[in-house]
Amino acid sequence: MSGSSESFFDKIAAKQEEKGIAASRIRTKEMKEDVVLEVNNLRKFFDIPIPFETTWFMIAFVGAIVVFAFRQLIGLILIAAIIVLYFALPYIPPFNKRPKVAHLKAVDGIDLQIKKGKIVGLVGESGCGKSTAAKTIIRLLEPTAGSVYFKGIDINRLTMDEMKEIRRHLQIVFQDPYASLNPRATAHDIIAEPFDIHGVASGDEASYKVLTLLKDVGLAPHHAYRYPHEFSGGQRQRLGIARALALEPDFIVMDEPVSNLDVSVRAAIIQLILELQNKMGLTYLFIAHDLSLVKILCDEVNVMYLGKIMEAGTSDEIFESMMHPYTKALISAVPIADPTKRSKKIFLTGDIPTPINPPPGCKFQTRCPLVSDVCRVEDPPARWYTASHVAYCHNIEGGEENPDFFAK
Amino acid sequence: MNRPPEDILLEINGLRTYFFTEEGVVKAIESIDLVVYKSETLGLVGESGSGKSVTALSILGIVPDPPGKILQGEVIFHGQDLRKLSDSDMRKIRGNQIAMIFQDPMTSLNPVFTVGDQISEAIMLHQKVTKKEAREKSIKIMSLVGIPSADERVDNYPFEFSGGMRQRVMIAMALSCNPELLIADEPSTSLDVTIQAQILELLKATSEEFDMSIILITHDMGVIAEMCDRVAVMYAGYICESGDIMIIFKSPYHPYTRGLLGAIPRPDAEREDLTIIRGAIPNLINPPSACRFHPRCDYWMEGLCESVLPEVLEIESGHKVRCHIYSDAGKAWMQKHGEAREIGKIPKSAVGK
Repeated sequence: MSGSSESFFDKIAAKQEEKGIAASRIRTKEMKEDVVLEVNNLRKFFDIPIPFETTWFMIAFVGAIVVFAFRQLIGLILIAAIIVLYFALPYIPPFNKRPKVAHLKAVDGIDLQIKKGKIVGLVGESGCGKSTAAKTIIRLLEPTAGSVYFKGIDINRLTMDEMKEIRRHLQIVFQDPYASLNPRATAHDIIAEPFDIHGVASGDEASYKVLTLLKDVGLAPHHAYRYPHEFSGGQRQRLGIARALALEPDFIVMDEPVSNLDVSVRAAIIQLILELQNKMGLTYLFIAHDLSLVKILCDEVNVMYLGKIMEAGTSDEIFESMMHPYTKALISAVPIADPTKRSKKIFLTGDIPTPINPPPGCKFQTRCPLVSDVCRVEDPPARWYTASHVAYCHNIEGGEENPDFFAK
Repeated sequence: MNRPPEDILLEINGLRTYFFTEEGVVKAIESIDLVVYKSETLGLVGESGSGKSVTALSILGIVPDPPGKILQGEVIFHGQDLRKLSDSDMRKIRGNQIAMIFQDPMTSLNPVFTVGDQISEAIMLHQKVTKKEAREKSIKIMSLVGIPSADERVDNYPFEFSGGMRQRVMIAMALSCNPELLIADEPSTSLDVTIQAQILELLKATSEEFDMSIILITHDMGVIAEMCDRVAVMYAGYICESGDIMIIFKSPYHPYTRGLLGAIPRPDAEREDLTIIRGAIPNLINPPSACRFHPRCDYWMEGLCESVLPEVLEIESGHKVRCHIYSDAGKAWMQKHGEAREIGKIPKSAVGK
């Protein structure tokens, strides 16, 4: 791929020299040759404001008005006092200690290692934080804690200026292509915009590149001057993919790229995604909730639940020899398109707890069939079954506590 | 296999429903023949825009009019044509003998009434019971569909339920009058897989308990495989193939069914096994002539498929297909052109062992 690690190290270093910033601000790490992206203990919390409780003020205020009806002066003083208190109270101890925000723990410490040329799956139910995780990994959302190393650099410590250099190599395709394409721009403008921003090409050269890209994703040259609404769902998704490919990235996040599409169109987009990977040596983080698709598409699979990874491993390990009770329930719930194989399902009882105040200990405790007392107190430990297969659970048998066991 | 005619619960003959919009006439359903037997689950599968939901609405006579209009055909339920019934007679059947659940429970529940009120309403409309009895019956049916502490939740509003629980409320409402036929329009599409499994299991269990037939509308071949006894595959207003689930999944005859089954990841499938159907669902204002699938079909017989609509052929008992590959006209075409059009096997991995 273009843009070897040296070149953009150099560019960033040059930019820093210009500004005279110490290079020590940037955190680097030796990474294995084949690892494109390493995510360490990444967290993303959203702040939910807790509103100020006004019920008592209302009651007091109504009381003061009643007093005012009989004793005007006392009533007026009371009303004034209540109004003053209303505004002043949040600044007076101990009331100023009141928590003003609650944390919605969308992503609560995930680790990933994404190897070059692989398709890594991130699966889970809706609301488990998979999309937030993906957006945080490519720094579309600012992480709360943790680090993401891309080619040995912690991208979360870069300034936005330096980040621009890296954005060329990290791209994303969104679930809803209609919502993510500018309705007022033609297909040509949409695909050419990255060229403009990064100063790659302009004019005829840009147009030539756009036409090549359109051809790559299976659209015709005459589509270039159409607007998004003139395309069908599948074509729009092709357009979204063309835009992501424009800057020849190394790594693309596919955030449910086929969930909104019809079955026959879906298969065509999947084929396109695979074709492009073969041709350009791309690495994908593939987010999906359709497990039967993930099974045949992904090399590695990470199962997420309420912001945490429950189990990770190669596709075969997850689908054939899963260990975690959540993975077992999730996979058994997938309808199999073969009437001769109607399977026995594992039904999860209980509700998904809200991620605003998740229970301490294991996140899955409220629905887990194996739950015991220790799950409600302690975070589950990692248990390794092979060098790549890890599950986080207190109550499963076997496994090693240290992945190095398998290294020998 | 064909069951005896006295087992037939619902029969649709030559149904045609168009929508008269400003852009033109949307020929949503051209001609549909369908049979639902007693206590069976019939799957109605197809891509979006194939007319699955319109079929359901046409059965119940609730096609939005205008712009929709049922132009011809008969819907025979228990020997009487539902299309000929008066509005008030139809209302007695709707919700009572034929009930329906919709894809999105939040939009089909009234947000300003408690779920208990809404279930009771259906009961009181069709049965002579007091308000109190209706409420008790609502609680009973809510616990039957697996809503925990139903006696408290009966006074909750729809927004206080999660998606899966809301769908359970919808099912409770549909079951409240012991219908003989339940039409489930994508009942699990908006739900997570774990919840979907629960809802499907619930539908299966209640259909056995109430001895009820279900028309299950979905685009998910997996759901069909798990749930149904028979399946009808719809494409652009026609049923292109229908029959026993085992036959359809093992040896589909219609090129579209074959394409659909090839386009989904089957168990044991590899990446390479995914096949695609060219093109997209046609615009139904101006649909392709004759066989509406011909522009996307790999087996298109030029000069025949676009000019003559294939008849429905019964390949074997209960297995019907609408395709020229098996018709006399098609065989004549093949002889004349010296080209064979034989449907190949679907990928090895897709066939159950």
